[in-house]
Amino acid sequence: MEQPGLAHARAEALILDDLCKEFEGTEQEGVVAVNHVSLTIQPGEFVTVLGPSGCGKTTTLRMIAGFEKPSRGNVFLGARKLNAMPPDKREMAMVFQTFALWPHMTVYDNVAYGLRVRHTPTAVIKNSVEMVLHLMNLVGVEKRLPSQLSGGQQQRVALARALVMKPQVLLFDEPLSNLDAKLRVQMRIEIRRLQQRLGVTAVYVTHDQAEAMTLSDRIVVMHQGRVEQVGTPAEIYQKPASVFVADFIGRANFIETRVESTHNGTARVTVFGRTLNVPYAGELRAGDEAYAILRPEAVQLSQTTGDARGEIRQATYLGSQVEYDVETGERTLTVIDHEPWAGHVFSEGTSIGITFHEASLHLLPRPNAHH
Amino acid sequence: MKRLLAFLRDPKSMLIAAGIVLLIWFGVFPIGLLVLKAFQVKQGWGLDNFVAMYADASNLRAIGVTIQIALLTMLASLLASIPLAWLVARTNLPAKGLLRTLVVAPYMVPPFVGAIAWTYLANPRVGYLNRILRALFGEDALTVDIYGVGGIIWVQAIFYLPLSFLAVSHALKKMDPSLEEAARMCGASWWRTLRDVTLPLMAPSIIAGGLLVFVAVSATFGVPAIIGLPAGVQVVTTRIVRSVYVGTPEALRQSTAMAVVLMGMALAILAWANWFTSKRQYTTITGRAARLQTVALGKWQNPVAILAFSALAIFTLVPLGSMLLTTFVRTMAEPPGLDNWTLKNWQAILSADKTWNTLRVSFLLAITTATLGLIIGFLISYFKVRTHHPLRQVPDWIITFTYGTPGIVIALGAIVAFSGAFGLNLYGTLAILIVAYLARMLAYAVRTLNAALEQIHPSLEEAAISCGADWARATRDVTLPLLGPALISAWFLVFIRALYELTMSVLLYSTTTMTAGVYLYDLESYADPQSSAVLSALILILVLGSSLLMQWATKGKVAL
Ligand SMILES: Nc1ncnc2c1ncn2[C@@H]1O[C@H](COP(=O)(O)OP(=O)(O)O)[C@@H](O)[C@H]1O
Ligand SMILES: [Mg+2]
Repeated sequence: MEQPGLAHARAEALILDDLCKEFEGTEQEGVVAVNHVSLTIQPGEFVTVLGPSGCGKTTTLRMIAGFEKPSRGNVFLGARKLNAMPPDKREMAMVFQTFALWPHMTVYDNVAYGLRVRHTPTAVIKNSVEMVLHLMNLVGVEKRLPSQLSGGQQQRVALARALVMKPQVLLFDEPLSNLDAKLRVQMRIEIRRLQQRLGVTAVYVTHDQAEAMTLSDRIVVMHQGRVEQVGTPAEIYQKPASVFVADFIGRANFIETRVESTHNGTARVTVFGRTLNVPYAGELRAGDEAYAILRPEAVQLSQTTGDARGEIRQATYLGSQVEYDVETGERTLTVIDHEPWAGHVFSEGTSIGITFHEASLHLLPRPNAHH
Repeated sequence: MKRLLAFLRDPKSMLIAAGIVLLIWFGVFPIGLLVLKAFQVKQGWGLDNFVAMYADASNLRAIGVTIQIALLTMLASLLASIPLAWLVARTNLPAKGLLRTLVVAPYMVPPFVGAIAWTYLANPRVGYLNRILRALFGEDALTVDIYGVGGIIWVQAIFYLPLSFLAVSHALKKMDPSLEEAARMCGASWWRTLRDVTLPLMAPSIIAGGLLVFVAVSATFGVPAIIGLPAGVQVVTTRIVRSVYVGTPEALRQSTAMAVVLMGMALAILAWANWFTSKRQYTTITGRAARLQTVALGKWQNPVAILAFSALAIFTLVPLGSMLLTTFVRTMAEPPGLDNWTLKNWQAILSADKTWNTLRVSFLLAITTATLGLIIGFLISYFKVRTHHPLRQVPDWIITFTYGTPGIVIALGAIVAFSGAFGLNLYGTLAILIVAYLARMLAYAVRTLNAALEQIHPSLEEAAISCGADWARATRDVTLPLLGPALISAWFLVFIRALYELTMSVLLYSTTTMTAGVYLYDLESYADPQSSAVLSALILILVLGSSLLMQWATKGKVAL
């Protein structure tokens, strides 16, 4: 079912050009919340800004929305510079963490509000609102007040209120964090489906990597106000650009190693006795200290064979998977087995062989290691 | 039966029951007695007193004027406090902190001192403002006359402004800023956001704040007495006080009826406001720190700031300044100047025994009331917040009721109840003043302590008990230290109000228990402007000093 009526007419790229934001602190020094962020978001793209709490995600989003003024840098929509434009003129819509539904207005009035502000004819408003309520599965609750809705319904109304404006850009600030886990999964599928159907550009802020992975065309990983990496979910996971990203996204074993030689974007290193050519990110030369990133699920345990041997220190049974801490003598390795059917759960103290998938390895320069 | 036995065996039950009995005896009984008296006629019961009261045109006029004054004061203070609160909370106005202080500061000025201060500025004959106007525009210049209904509204709007301002500011602060941001994202300008979202959401709080002003103003005595009586304007409170002074049985019966009408109005309004706000409580505190983008006033920034600051300065600082000036004026017949300058006013007041006697009485009353209020208030609050006793709310209800009852009603009731007819004669003693003060002011202590106790999670106390401390020990070692600032501010909030109480004191004082406020009112009625300026200044200094002391003692945690 196509809904051409809700798509925005224009399609322009959203460009963040060297955005900085410094807040006046209590002391002489201010807080640098956002530090030289540059990014081009294509029309119709779904970009997630992912990072730990306090890394500057919300501040970035609010600069796009126009609620914060950049201390430096520009926001462009296509060729138009938005810096001095107030939030109400930006043709963007935002879904808030707290939903921010007006408690004194009915569902219908909440959704219709933006159109009324635009002096849209009543008949057109009625049409658009009914369409979007239908789209959001909200038919029948139009006359209710937000306080008479469930959390999931409130979330839908907040989304409907944003969509009905046919925004060029949809902004989300952790919109699912007030929902319970099941509903969260359901809503993120729905958000993705809607965004694709309408072809609207979306910027979505979250600290939840599962959300970022499932929703995004591209993920922007932020850390302490800076962009650490921009890439597709697979790139971010498989080829993290920094130790922070490798550590923040998923689980990782950091295996110290030394580069023997480099060739064509790969470096020759020895890991668990196997000498391999491994792709790397950043700058690496022969003789440099490096980390080989080994994902826990890329390791296989076997009682008979293995590149190296270790001993199970701890086994944590989680139903769908088993997590092991394996002591190899040099380090403790985290291993995750996703197929733990009966008999495959090793008990603590078992001596075990370790094999790993060569293709899963990824190299990063070791910070603070002297060359 | 078992339940009843368990109830009776609980030591808390004895304490709470004793407390309720005392509160009823000293708080509810006098008020109830007064209501009964209003319906008592020569033979049996009836409405004769009300009929007689309404038959007297001047009574009716007093009621009408009271409502008129309260209504207009409420509107004026709301009209001023909504934009002021919005400017402080939501714009980039410079020096907003100072602006807030200037708005809230009159809270610490006794309203009758404010009224007296305004008379020095706007007395039609000798007021400095009128002297200046005449000097500028000649003898037939416009005369600003503070005496009358307009003046009462003017002064009360200024000195009750903090009440509505605080209510509106509180509502603004509590509102989730993303509700406003959502409107901006829907394309609404800041002005439409204010109109469609901010104001409707705050409406319940605004109305409640306004009604608070209405009730307070309709029950006050000082300002209408000082500014109204010289112009022949009578309100309910001044009429009641006058008829008590006159003392004929007929006048007393009518004033009892009038007091009951005033009380009915006040309690009905407060009850409605309570119900209304609890039903429509939109604004909620969200976990996130409010960091709403402020509205940039642009080129209006400086004009608006200058306007707001100068208005506030003129309305409060200038009259208080002219009061100070008056303390050094030799004769009011001449304009102040170097040849009309004297220290005699200060010498006269400071060397008079009566000054020190009345100040001593005021301090004694204030300290006793505050200390008793703190102890009783703590018990009431503790029982309410911390126990599950079935009667735990009752003391709180009682003091909310006595708090909402106009002071004049409580004072009249205390006279009727405690003049010996019911076995207890407190008339003419400090005790009757303390009882009446407590009835009106316990609520300040209890509210402060309730709010603070609700902040302290019971698990902190339970942790102490699980470490082996008994209940008393846990309270002493954990709860009381954590409550520290709240205890201090509860004490001072009662202390300051008791220090400048006038409405009840005017009815309850005797020659040996005259308070400084009553003495000031006396001086004012005998038209001794310089002496009353000196005493006003003294009272003002004491009150302001106390509130500074409170700020210091609570390390500034008690912002109004
Ligand atoms: N209005 C503000 N004033 C001062 N500091 C702020 C303000 N808003 C955010 N910050 C600071 O900027 C940093 C980034 O905040 P934010 O963008 O909210 O992070 P995130 O959304 O990623 O959790 C934090 O250190 C935060 O304390
Ligand atoms: Mg955030």
